[in-house]
Amino acid sequence: MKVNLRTFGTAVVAACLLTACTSGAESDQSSSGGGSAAPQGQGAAGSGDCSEDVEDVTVGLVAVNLNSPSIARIADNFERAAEERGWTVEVFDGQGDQNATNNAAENLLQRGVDLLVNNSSPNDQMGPVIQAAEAAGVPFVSIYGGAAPGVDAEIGTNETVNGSLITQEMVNRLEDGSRVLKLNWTVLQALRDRDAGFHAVMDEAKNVEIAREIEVKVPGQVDDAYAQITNFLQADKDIDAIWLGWDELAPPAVRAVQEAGLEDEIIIVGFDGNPFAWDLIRSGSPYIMEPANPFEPMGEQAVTTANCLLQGGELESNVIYMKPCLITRETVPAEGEFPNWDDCAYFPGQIGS
Amino acid sequence: MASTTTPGRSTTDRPGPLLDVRGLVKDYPGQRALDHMDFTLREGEIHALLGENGAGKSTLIKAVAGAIGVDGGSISVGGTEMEMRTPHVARAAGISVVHQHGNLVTDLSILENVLLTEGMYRRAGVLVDWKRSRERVRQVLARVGVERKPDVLVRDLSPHEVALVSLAKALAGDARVVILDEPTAALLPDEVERLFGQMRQLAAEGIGFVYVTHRLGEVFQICDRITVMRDGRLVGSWDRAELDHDALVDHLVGPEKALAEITRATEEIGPPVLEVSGLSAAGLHDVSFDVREREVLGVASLPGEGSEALVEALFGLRRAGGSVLLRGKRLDVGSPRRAVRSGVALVPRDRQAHGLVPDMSVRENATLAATDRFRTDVVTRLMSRRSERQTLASVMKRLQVKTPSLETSISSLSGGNAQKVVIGRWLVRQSDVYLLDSPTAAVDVHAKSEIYALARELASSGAPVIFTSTEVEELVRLCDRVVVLHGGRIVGELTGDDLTVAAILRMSFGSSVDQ
Amino acid sequence: MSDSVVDHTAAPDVADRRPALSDRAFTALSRWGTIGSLVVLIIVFTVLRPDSFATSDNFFNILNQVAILGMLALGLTVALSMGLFDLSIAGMATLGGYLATKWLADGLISNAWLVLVIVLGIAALIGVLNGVLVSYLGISAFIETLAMGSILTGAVLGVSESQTVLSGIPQTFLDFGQGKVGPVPNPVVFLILVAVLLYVFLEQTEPGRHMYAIGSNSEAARLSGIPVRRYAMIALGIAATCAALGGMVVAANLGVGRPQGVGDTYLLDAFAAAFIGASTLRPGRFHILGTVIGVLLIGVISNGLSLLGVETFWQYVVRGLLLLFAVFAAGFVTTRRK
Repeated sequence: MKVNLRTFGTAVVAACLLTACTSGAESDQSSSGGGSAAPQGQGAAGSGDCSEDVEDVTVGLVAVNLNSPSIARIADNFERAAEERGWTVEVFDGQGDQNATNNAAENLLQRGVDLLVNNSSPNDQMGPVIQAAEAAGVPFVSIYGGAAPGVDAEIGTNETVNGSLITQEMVNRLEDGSRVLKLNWTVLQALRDRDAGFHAVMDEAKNVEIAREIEVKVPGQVDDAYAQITNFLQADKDIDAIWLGWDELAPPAVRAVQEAGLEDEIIIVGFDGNPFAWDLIRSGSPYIMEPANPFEPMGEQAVTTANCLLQGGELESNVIYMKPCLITRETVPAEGEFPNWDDCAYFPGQIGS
Repeated sequence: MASTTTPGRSTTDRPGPLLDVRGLVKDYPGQRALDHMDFTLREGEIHALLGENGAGKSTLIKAVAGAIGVDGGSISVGGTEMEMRTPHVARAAGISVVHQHGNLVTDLSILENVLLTEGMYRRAGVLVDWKRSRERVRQVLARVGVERKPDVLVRDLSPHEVALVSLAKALAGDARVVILDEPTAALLPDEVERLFGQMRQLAAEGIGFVYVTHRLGEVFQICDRITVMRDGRLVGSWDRAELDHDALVDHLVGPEKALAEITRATEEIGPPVLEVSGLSAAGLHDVSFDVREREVLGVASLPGEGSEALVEALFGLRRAGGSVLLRGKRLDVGSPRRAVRSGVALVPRDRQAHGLVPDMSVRENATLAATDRFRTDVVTRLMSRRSERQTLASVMKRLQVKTPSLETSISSLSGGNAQKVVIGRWLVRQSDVYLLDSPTAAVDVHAKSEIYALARELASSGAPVIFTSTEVEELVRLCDRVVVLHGGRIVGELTGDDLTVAAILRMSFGSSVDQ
Repeated sequence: MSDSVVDHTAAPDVADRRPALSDRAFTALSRWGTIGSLVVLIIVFTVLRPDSFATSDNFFNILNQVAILGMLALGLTVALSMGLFDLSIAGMATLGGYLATKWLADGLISNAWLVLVIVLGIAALIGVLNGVLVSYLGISAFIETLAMGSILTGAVLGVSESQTVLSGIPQTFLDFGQGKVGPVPNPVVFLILVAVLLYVFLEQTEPGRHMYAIGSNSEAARLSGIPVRRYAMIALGIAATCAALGGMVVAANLGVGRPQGVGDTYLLDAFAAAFIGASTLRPGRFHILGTVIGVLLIGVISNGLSLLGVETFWQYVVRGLLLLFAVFAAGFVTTRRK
């Protein structure tokens, strides 16, 4: 699993020999450090110690869709943290096309990046890339990729826990006999995990009933969520809560509820932590609560972890979960600001402590 | 005078002729296309099959090639009677047709074309065996004298090579009988020579050719025997030596028929109204003529010899030089749109492809060229259906169009009525010059005479009418004067008592003598 | 030969003119099949969900939900009536919605109506450019609009730097999508406006007549003196303008300017609606009324099935079956006619 630097170095040398690598030869002479040059922190190889700062690293970062605000925030913060260390980051945006993303990742490996970072694509769908990275001796770090064989480090949040936390908080606010409408897209692993948390709580919550579970269409999720909720409320106004798989669906859900005149009867919960969702929470709309995932610290964490891997360090676990913040009407940050990720509340009991 | 071969059993000492057609009959509704036709092709023979348009040549070819069924008679190949149910049966029997423009797919290579119907050689039943396929194609190319690699695209070949490759394709299927349908139409004289050279060689190997052409000069140059058809019947078959050019034309034309009615101008023909001078275009060389007041002018030529080009040039479909004057005023016929705006009307030869708008009603078809007459104003361009109907009521009555209503789909009308709607389109527009390009094609007899009457009526109302037809008789019956084109040039002009079917045909064929 | 009218253009084989009962049944099926399906569906949903389906609220709800699809499909119908496929409407819709919200949010232009007019103007220009490339350079419309769609998608992504416009959109603009005229939601008002205008245009005006002629037989149209090339610009211009309008109304309706995927959601449904329409009443001809019925059919199916609580995947399946049926019926009659 772990690739130590000796293997890494050998692989680079082997690759140079095979391809009669001229740029490598040049960089030896000029020490200008092209893309294929080994990191300078080589001396610490194999020590298992992560204290050193590896410099002169070229990173390839692939993101399946930078239009997603959360994916974009992760990428931005990763880039910032990496550039603070003097690393070079090359970003590829797959525009929602996983295949194109994989091809781009393989091209980056071909071009000799020192580190490959997967931003939010399911690692399960990147098997060949992970194998290629392993063969090339390039560390493969993922953010929201899910645990998979061959991945050197995965940074994420525990969405099953998030799912059960928010579902339980929702149930706590409902009376006996309440009915819940759920909208989700159970294709992404993170959304499946949230779904598992939802069902774990709902199975035990005997006083609350699931009215319907709707699978939204992606792409077109915003329009579809709006139409689906409007249609549903047309037929059945006896709904007390709406559970959304992610908060991009919050604005259309709020609009549909308001148009049906049910804003005082229904509460809406969701996930992720996008500022436009916080606007809704702040404004007193039916959207009341969500766990906000720490996208900014995740980018930084990925850089720190990669720094460790690049000098041959060992990780305690190759899955690293981060702590989210619970955003409610009480804890919602002021407009344009972010929560204090380090010491924000996660459970309601911490609020105001 | 030459004797015709008597129909009967073939009692030659050979095993039987390559192809023997006896008493073949083919009926189309209202018309007998083949009337007990006989035809015999011997081994190694180049046999000309001649006749004017509509004489039944192409029906005979289709019947022999299995493209159509027949209503009587027999076809024998090598002495064995066969039923040519499908083109496949005919090909298997060794009969192959090479059409005028070649039956080749221009975007494929020679190899793919030559083996298109026969199939490529296969390895393990699936993979193409390119090596053997190429070898086979090289062999047949050598037989027709084409020195090209099998992988060259047909698009890149010269016209005579295309003709030869078409021949090669026929030979690849082991054809014993090759039917050549006007193969020389697109060829230059020396290219024709080369094609003939190859034909002679192949004939020496025993292959029989049926050679269809309008160029009588070529017939005497290459053919061993000559068969002439008229009105679906056999006129006769002769050895080449038995005929000379004049005798052949006599057979082609036949005795002058008593025409049912001749509808020439009863009034005095007036001064020139439409003057065409120095018209030149692709397939048209320095053509000058005029159309006079109250006159229907016929334009005649064999296919591809000029009449199509003339009509297209006058309607802006072919880029042309020269001038067209209507009552001294120059007409702009640079494009169909400009021609229409100058007052020129075209009733196209191919009604289905170029005349009718099939998804539209009779009304919409009839007003298509004159929509500007029926709009309420220039800004909104709304159409007034009421005024369309009012105008059409009189036009449809004048044309005697039989239709359930103006809103009926044009597709449900008979050919004659649909054609009258197409003509009506120009009456609605009140065009000044009428190009009637074979307007009577595929219409019934009754509608034909109505169309003649209409052409007359237009002419006497002062509009120049130019009329073409695939049936020469029609020109004689209707037109006051006929100009005859050959090789894109006017070769003569006929009028009054000189205007006969025979005269037009002689002139049309005539210049082939000059070769 | 008798005096009766004989059609020589029909296939020469004997006895081909037998007006069979089955033939007429199929003709009727192809004319009335889709309308029949619509009526049957409405009856079924009304019976199954009398309290929620057959209400005036839900009536406007359905119209509101199909309004965007409708605008795209109606514009597309104009292009299709001339035989031109327009695949760029998806990118056009995205661009329209994004540009309008972006300019308003940035304060570049503050008047919502002005933005509406400017964006529609830009869309019309791009559509005309499509027409120029198709008719004067002779590129197939299918390929050209596919390419243009890709260019537009790229352009909007570039301009937006992939950032969604979420705030700062003035209320006057949001009202285009969220306001009402009496009981009628504004998107429905836009839809009705577009439908009426295009209906009059295609059915009652000279250019409409010419476009149909070109779509049915462009050579016959050309020989009748109709400027065939010029009309490609008009048709594609109209399709693009309608798409941009749809994109702006959906942006106003949801209050977001998304730089990606807005129009793509509707593209295939717009084609489906137009093709269902082409097998309604006048088989083989694209027309506005037919497209309206196609759009309603799609809307009623999604609405009714989701009121019934049917799974999303069934909605896809039912819609697919319906489209197959519609196109089959139209195609069947057309081939028989030949």
